[in-house]
Amino acid sequence: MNLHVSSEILSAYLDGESRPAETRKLEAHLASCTSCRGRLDALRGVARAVERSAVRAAPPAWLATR
Amino acid sequence: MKAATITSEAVRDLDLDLAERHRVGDVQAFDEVYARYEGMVYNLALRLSGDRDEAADLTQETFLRIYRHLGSFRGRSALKTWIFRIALNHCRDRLSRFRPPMQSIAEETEDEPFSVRLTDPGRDPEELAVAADESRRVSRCLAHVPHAFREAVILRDLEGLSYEEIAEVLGVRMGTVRSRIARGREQLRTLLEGGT
Repeated sequence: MNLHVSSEILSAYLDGESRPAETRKLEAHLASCTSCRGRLDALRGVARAVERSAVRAAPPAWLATR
Repeated sequence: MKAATITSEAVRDLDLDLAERHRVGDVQAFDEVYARYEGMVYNLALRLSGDRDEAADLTQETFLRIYRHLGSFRGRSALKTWIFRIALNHCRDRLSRFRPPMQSIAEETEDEPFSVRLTDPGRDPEELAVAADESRRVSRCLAHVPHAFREAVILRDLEGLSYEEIAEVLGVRMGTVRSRIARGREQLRTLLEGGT
């Protein structure tokens, strides 16, 4: 795979949702492409930032004791 | 693979049992549903509305709908995705009618910082303040991501749903889910790097 990988495939790979054939090609490509490894890391950072941004936002106490 | 199948069947049986108990008047059944999904529905409403009071209202109204319709739940999808679909549709309906979405978690006054609402006793105040700043920044940027992409990113990264579950909640194909999550993340990355 000479061309860079699409964001869609990188994003799906990050989530464990890429197809087996895609995964094999992608991993082979990532082994030699620092650019795509960097893009994958950046997408991972975004996903983690969203995850961290809200999981601790607890509902107001009155809602829990309605 | 077999274990995963058994687990999903067990979950389905539990879901159907809750619906049946609710149907025959067991009040504890709804309390169990509420306890299990309240936080997820509230967080979804919070990120879509951008306002805590509105998110609390949306959560209450969503659970009122769930209360009314739980008896008719037949297990064609998991209870979790059924609830997210109700919550998402209600948020879309309410927010499109009453005001433009996403105004303001990020715009809250400094005298009531986001950190006071964080619930993580294992972290010291400085860490919480940094986390609150980051949370505000992500919220501010998410508000600028088109709603179709934002919903997909929230369901994936915040709620932890699989692509298949997101497809069920949104009523779209798996390929569309893939595309929306990727585009949403790319747009969010650009916004975060741009210091919005």
